[in-house]
Amino acid sequence: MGATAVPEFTVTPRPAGQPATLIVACDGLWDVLTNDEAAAITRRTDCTDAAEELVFAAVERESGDNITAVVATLPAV
Amino acid sequence: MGDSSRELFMTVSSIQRSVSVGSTASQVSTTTTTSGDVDADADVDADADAAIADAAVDALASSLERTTLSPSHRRSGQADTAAATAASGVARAESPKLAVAEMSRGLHTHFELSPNPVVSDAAQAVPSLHPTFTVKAVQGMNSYMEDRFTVRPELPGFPHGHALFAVFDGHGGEVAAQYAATTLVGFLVTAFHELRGADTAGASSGGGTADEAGAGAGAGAAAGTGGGAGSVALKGDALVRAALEAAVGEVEKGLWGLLTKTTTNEDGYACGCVAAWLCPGCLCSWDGVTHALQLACSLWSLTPCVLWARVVARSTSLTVLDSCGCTMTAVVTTPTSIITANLGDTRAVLCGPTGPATPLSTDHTLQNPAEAARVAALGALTKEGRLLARSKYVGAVCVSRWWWWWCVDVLVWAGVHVTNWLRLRRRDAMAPTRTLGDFGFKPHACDAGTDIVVRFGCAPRGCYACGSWWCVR
Repeated sequence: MGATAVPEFTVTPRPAGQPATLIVACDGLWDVLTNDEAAAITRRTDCTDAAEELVFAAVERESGDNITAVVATLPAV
Repeated sequence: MGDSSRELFMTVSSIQRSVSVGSTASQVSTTTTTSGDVDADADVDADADAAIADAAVDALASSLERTTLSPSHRRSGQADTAAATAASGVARAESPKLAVAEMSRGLHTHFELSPNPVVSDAAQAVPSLHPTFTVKAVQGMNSYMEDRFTVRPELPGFPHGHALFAVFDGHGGEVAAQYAATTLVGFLVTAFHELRGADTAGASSGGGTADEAGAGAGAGAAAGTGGGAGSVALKGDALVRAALEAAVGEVEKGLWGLLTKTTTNEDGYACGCVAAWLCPGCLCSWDGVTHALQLACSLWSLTPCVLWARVVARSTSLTVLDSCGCTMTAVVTTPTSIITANLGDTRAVLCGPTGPATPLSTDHTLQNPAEAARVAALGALTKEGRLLARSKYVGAVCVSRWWWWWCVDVLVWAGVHVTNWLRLRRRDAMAPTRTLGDFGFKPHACDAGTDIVVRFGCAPRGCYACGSWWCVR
């Protein structure tokens, strides 16, 4: 009882004139990293290493779950 | 700990390849001379999607059987599921077999996709809207890898600049996450195509041809948008959002069919009836229940025993499938906006070059006050911050002069409480409050909060004797 499969939608405008980084990750990562910590990690690493660095950071903080991170760099529009 | 942990999780294999679908599509779409190839590519992509989805369902069926038969076989099933995930993740895996062989080696499943966009003259003519992306997934300390992901830098059938990023965190087995990861793209593309077709049909008819408008509205309703496909044509972000919503609904429907193993045709009814006796997994479907009850009524004097057996069967083995599900965070980026659909505690975050990160989704757990209030309003029960799968005895109305119907009610009442007790003992609880699958946690199959209503009656002697309402979840 109580669970549902109705998703919650958000529509966010893309920031104009600058690239943005999108992080989609599971709770194995978010249990041990805050949003801003994850953002700082992606900023200081190259795009091609960002997902790996995020997952390593979560591993170093001894996350006990599966860890999946998708990091996408959206080009400026 | 840095170096040692890196070594522990060091890449089993690093699969680096160009993201072929995105790159070719962008090159071709910028040149007019090869416009025919664009369509061909799109068709091939759609076929490939369908093939991937079909193969995934087949693999799932076998993987499901392995899972239910013997937990020790789940490890071997991981190669299959990793294969389907890789295909889903990379969109066009060039050598999936090699990738699988590499990935299935070692304890820690780990794969990585590095984009290497092909830059050509044609691509340079128009600034590319393709995102570059990396994915990393590790099994970590868990016994099983139940995470899945889907990334499409270019969605077939969508206008240029649309991409999908989705992460699924499975629980109770990887079946639900695997199914969702492999089928979401196909459902999304189909729903987008249908909704756009419905909208253009509705807009072009303009009241001139009622048939066409009706067909458009019908197609929209069939896509499960719940409105929107009518006089007002969906465009842009609203269209993508409606397609995503419909796709999630289709995934949920597909999971219902997959996890309950029932179909809705006449043969399916017969299967449901027999299988309800043999396979407790079928008991959670409305068809299976009604037909099992008809059979039970035909046995008449055995009815109380049969119902008691059903209740006990539910409490013991049904939760294997009832507690299988996954969370989902699906992000579709369009040239102007970012559309996020969230279920559960996976999360999407957007961060610019400076400033704080912007969460694109809120976690659906009981720690979220809005979700806690929503769940509490539905009368759900929780334990230690997690949602409980619980049966509920709603009540009984007995107008029978036959004493055994009273016994039936007492047995059902007791059975429901035995079920709950067993579930509490096994801690059938989950943290996310919105998921795909997990049908043991969801009200469904009827309205008003009672999901399965069983009404005893239709006595063979022609006397409607008793009504008993029984909510098993």
